[in-house]
Amino acid sequence: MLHVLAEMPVQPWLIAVLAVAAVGIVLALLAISVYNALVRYSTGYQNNFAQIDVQLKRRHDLIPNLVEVAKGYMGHERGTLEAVIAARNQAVSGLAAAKANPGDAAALAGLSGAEGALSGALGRLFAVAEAYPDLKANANMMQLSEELTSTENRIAFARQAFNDAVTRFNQYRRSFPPILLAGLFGYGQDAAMLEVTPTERASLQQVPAVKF
Amino acid sequence: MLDFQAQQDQARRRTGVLLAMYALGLVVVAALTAPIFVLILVAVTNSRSKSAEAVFHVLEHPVNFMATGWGQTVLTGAALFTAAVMLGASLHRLAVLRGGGGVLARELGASLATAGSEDPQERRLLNVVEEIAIAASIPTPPVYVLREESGINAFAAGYAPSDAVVVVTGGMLRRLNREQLQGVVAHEFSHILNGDMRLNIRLLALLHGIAALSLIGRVMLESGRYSRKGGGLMLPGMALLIIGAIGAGVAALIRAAISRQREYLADASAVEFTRNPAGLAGALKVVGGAGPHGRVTSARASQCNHMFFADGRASLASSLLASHPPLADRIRRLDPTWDGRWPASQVEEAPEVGRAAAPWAAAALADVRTSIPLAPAATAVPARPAAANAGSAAVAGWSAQIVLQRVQSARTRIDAIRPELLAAARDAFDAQALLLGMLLSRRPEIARAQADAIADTLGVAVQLRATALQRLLLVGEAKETRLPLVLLALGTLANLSPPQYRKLRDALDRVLAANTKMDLFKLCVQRMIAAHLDARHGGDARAVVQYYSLARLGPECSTLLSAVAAAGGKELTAEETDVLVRRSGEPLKLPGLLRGRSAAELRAVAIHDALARLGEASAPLRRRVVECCATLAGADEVLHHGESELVSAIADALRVPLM
Repeated sequence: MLHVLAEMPVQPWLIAVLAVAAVGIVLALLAISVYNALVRYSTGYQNNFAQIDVQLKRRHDLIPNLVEVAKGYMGHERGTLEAVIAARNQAVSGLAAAKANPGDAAALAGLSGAEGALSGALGRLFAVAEAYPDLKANANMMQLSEELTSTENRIAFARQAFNDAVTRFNQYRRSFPPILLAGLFGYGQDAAMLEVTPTERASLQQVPAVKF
Repeated sequence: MLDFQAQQDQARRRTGVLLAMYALGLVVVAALTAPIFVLILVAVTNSRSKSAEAVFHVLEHPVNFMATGWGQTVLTGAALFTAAVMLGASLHRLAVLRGGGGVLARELGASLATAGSEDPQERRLLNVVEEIAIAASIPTPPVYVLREESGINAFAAGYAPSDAVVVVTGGMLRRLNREQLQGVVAHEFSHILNGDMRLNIRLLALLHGIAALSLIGRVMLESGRYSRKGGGLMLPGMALLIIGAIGAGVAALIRAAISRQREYLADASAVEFTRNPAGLAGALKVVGGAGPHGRVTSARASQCNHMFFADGRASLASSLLASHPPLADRIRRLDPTWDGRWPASQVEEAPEVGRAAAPWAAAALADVRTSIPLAPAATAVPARPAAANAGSAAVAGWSAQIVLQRVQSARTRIDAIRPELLAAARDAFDAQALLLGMLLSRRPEIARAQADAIADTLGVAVQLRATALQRLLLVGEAKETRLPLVLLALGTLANLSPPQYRKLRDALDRVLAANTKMDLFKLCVQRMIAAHLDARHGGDARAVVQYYSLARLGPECSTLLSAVAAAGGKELTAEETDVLVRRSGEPLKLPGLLRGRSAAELRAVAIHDALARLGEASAPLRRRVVECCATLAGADEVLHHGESELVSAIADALRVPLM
């Protein structure tokens, strides 16, 4: 029997078939892990968006109270007050749209535009309120503006975390080999970050600086 | 409490036996498959037409074949190859599963439950998780919800407590009341603390290794079958398939048996946490009564059947392979008076109004108190250990006293926290500021340096908030609620992004460096923060054990025990400290190595390093050290709340669950 083994030739094509099969298995495993990673990163930034959502809602909920208190003192400044309410409602719908689609560039651009406009309107409100010392001294007003300030900080923090998560997703999606499979799995587009619009940047510098 | 210890030991013993059987099974499978690979090699290295012939030749004269050098090489090679395949597959699976609990939760498409959620049931869930986490003295893990899933189930995932997450189905949120939810969450926490997930992951990985062999066999069988001339591969292929299948079957049986033991253990531990068997029993009854509607149906979630609270599979035909004990058995162990009838499927419970819906709404700017506390308020527990015997039973009694006190007061402690501090602990931005504020010194020069460090790394806004929160923290009753706040804040900070985490760590290091004389509690907090944040964000959740004996850690033990003595509030002389340290340190078995250090000698850095090095000792040693600290703390016969908090902090800094 030994001579049978000694004489046998190695069959190259069979080895080749086995090799291809092994490679195939490896590729399949790779594809599975790429898919899971894409799901993981995308769920990750969606979860982070939920955190921003919480803070933005908080901001939106504070504003009607603020306007109510201010109305008691500066009833003539109807234009300014109404502008704030209008901007706030715009921001609320912008948030709803973005929440439905957290990675979508258009929705997020709409959201940051609306929030920026809201910051602008608030800035103008506080600027006008400077002329009403009674309003400044009101306890509710002080508490509400303090809450607003801290909310701004939290929004900035949550936004940072969201943008980091989006960056991580995008980097992974664009790397090799995920880029080959991403389109196949339904992740053909980069996720968008929540940018700070120029208006918002300018007015952010204003709102926290208000001292009561 | 001691009865629970006995149960735990029994479950651990049984697990050990089963693991040994598992290992034996692996060896047998490997031994059986090596010859198969030999045959495969023979078949493969022959021409197609002669392969079947060659294989039969080998089978007829195996001894001759094995006697040759060629035969032995092939056999060794085959054995190694088998081992490599099994090991490779196991490691691959292990790597995937060890990615962390959050990884798995997100892969299933579960969404994070946040404190500001609109759904009152999610907020209720978060409150429950917080209570149990505080009772167990671990940071609140992230909580994920499988919202679309209407089955009633939950699981805990992750490799270690600092890595853990809890995942709950939407069906569970809607169908269980608060008491039952609490029982389930406590059950999941028990899994986390008993290391069941780690065990399960290892077993799964090994199982995967055996299954890989069977897979290869199947591939060969089919390739042999479909090719007319490839007959030689069929026989070894079939043999491999059969052996692999049998091996995998046996391994699965053993794994299921281990899993059932751990489930009983988790049920028992849950009762220890909540002191309320009715909650968990009620939840199990609801699951049973829900029938097929209670089962998990989504395909992706069914990957995790093994981890679920109750067996989610539709058919429980093979009870030997079931990963969970039968529901009826579990209910009877918890509630011996049960009559065996399942409750009718109920309408979904209306959620109670717990925490305020929108804490920032104007009306709720006032104080918000929570729902009914579970247990009477904590009082100073007099020092009378449960067991009558002296020695180790007494020491166990001290740890037990501390746990009892925590369990009874977890809800009350959370309620006692000032709302501003509580809200701060639940928000990521403020949680950072809260932890930093806790570490700030009361001495102005040092506080200023620390504030500068914070402003440098994290920004002025954080620094201002930290200083403001520090003021709140120094107010009278706030001091007693520091540990729960730390645990809550650490839970919130689990969701930081990597750049944010790095900045925070940087700030923490600089704050510590600025203070030469930190008190023991702050040092423990600092270590807790470092350990938990690093584990959750940095990478390997497993700390590498450096010390298996305390022989080289004498100075560190002395330092720690002296620090505990110094924290007792009374001014002690060097001799008194020495006596106390030696007496309480007896169980450590370090004759002559323990030396009390007076308060003046103790430096913050030394204590910090002592905690760090003791943290690298093996688990039994760490437990012993904590128990000695507990004895020392209780040495003046009354366990004050502050001292129990200190011992809890030490236990957490050394990663010893006080159970």
